[in-house]
Amino acid sequence: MFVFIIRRLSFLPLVFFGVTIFIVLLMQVLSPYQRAAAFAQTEMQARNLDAIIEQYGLDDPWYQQYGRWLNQVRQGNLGYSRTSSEPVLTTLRRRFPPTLELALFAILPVIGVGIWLGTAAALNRDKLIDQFTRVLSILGWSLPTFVLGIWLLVIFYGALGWFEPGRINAQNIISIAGEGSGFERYTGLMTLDALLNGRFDIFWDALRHLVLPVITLAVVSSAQIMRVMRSALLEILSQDYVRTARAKGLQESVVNHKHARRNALIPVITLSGFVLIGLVNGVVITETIFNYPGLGQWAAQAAINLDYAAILGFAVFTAILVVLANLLVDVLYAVVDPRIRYD
Amino acid sequence: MNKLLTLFTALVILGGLALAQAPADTFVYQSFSAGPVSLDPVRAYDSASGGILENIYETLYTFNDPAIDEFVPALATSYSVSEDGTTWTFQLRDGVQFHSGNTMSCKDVEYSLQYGLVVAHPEGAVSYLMGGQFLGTLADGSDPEGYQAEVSWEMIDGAVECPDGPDGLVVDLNITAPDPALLAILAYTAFSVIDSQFAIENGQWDGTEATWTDWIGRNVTEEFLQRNASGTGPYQLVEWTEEALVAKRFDDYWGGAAPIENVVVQYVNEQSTRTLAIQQGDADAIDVPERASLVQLRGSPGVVIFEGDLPDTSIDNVFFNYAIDTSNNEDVGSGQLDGNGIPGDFFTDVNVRRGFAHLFDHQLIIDEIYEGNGYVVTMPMPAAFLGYNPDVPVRTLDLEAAEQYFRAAFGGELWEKGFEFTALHNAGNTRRQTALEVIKSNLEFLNPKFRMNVRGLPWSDFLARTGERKTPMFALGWGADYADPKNFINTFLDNDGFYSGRTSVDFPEIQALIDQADSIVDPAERAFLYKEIGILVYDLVPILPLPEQANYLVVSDRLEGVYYNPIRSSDINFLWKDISKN
Repeated sequence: MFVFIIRRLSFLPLVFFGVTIFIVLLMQVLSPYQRAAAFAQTEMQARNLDAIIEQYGLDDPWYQQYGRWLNQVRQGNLGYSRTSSEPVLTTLRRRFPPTLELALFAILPVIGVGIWLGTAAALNRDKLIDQFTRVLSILGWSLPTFVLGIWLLVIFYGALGWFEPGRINAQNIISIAGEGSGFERYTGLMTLDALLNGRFDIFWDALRHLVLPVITLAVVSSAQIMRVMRSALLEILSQDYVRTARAKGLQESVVNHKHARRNALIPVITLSGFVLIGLVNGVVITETIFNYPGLGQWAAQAAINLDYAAILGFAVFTAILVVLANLLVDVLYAVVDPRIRYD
Repeated sequence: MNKLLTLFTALVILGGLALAQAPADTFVYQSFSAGPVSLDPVRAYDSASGGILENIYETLYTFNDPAIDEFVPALATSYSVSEDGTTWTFQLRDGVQFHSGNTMSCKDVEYSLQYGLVVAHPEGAVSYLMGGQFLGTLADGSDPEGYQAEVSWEMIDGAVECPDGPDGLVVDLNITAPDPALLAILAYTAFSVIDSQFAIENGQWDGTEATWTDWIGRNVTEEFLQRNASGTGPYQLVEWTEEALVAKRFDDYWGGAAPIENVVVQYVNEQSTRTLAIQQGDADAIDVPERASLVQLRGSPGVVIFEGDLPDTSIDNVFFNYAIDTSNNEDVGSGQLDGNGIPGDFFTDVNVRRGFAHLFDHQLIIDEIYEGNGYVVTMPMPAAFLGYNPDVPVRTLDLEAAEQYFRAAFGGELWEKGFEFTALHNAGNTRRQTALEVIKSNLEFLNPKFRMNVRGLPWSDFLARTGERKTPMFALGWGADYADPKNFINTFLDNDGFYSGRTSVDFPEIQALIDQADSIVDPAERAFLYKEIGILVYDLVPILPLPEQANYLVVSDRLEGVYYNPIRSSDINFLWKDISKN
């Protein structure tokens, strides 16, 4: 296992260079003028595009621009994000925790609901619960996130006034702002930091702000897991060893949940890995609608702005994350299925 | 079912404990921008940054809100101008404190202005707005060696002086030639007074000749003042994070403490989210960039929409390119006057321009795009500016007049052969698109041999294309930096102005008047000259000003003291210190 992990990690530099060179080459399709103009929101800012091109070397050959960036990376600097008006590393450090927090809160309902309903559908094939989950998964698949998100906002914020967007309310933003507030951001996860600071009011508020984005993500993302779980379990239930287990007189619940469901989880684990990567990379629309200051919101804006350093930094971050998440999924295979060994 | 019931109960408990509206001591503003570009005055040149800076920092003189062309003392108490108009002496206010606790004096004004001239950031406003006046050059720091070739330390040092010593309260500004707009320009946030001690102690430029060249063109967004500030303004910066920018009242403000204690500026990209926030009372003011979105807000309890006579300070025009680069240019067709294209000098014929001017229907734009909330622009500058004259005639839709001019163009050849070209606008800008579509529609009706295509391009492509001088006709505009007609007239029509790079505009009669207006300070004389320019614009049609819409503000009914000053940098157009909340 150890060798396997080392071998997989050795791919990281390759992925790093592959992804970054690809993006740099892709950016060259746009003229220096276009890349410089992307930052000019008004005519006034467009006044001096030639100077911007010169100052940032946007008309230098791609390998020179890439070389400059690599040189910065060597010194531990991923460059400056004009979108967030701060260094890329700082933005990653500040925006990853909110996204991670959202992902962690979302992943349990996403996987839990997916597995629960997928199992129920498979065990009750063509019955009411199966039809219900089918409709639910179709809805989840086909309902655009922004439509669901806005509906939820209109109902639970606009009409009921329960859950406002953002991460915490304005009053709490003020109460934890600045060094004088005494609020330490140990992890960047608002709920956890609130508990560590003994601020249960902030914890409660942060929790409330997570409700709508988590529901949105759960409805959309659990639909995939639901369908995969159902089809995998149906296939397993028709296997010989399941029939054998039943013939041996094992209880139906033991057969279903211990023998069948565990094996059906393998494709679900694979899918869950990708869902988690998607969540941790930032969920653009959900973060935008709920004004949640995560990675997705920033990355989307950076792409629109052709923010060279931010796009490269985000790509490197994502690539590393994908490699690590895939590694984790592979390791989990071995845990779930004893037949799988990586020696 | 039990699980669903449990879930719903949990939601009710969580939601039921929601806090009430934003408290009375806090002003919450939700902006549509992604946040300030910089809090360093010499770098900031966008409304999101300016909207923060004008509340944290101060300038020597400021606007007498809501007037845009009256100035009142801020950090200075009075000023005098030397007989030759090149030395402006300001008496500084005594006992003004920075947020850091330091006391303001001449050395801070000197440092602030010299810092801007030293950095000369190409994306900032200092070189562009004051480089010519202080140093006699519009060069900037994008090419540090070139800048050093034109600008010496002696020039920068001599531009701002403290005759009573660094701790004195008198400052002299030495400019190269009289400038009638100097006070208006100095009111812009780029000329905010920085706490020099605070800046130097934290690693910003040390204010000496020994290091000035190291700071030319420096990317100051990576320096201390990018996210930290010590100004003299009524609010001090507490924190700027990805969640919001938080400021609190500066109790030692020389003008007295502001009524509202806390300000939270949130950057909310989604309009529906902002709309719900003000309806719920969680925001006290929101940005609504598109007028169409006002529909959802009308009649909402607790929401006030200020509209009506709120003039904008931006102007859109249809621009003609007088020297089109026709090489590899699909927008000019054949590049010849052969019925299938236009030549590079197509718009140099005044009859062509007059013909186009009579194809435009101003009232249609006002009625359809601005829902009746707009006005016809008689001169290419905001109506509230010095020199604007509503009596200058305007060419309106008149197909007979248009035909007459087009028949006279190119010695009659144009009417017979016809032409085809493409006009551009930035995609998503409805009014610019509609303006061009209206012209196209009337043009093609007038003569079937006339063909005009209208194309929208993404903003960056649009700027690139017009910057390459390949676009024959395009719709674009300008927002005010400062409240003086030269900010618009020179920008649009000066043969060395911003748009000359896109249009090669060069009208000697107009240029002579521009130069004359720039060289005198008497407002009445200047107003007369600008009216003359307006009449020449009517006659020669170097550009085609589009109607402007009246602006609007969306705020909570709990706010008091709201006013509208379109020259303020912020999109809400008022200063935080002037409002209170019940």
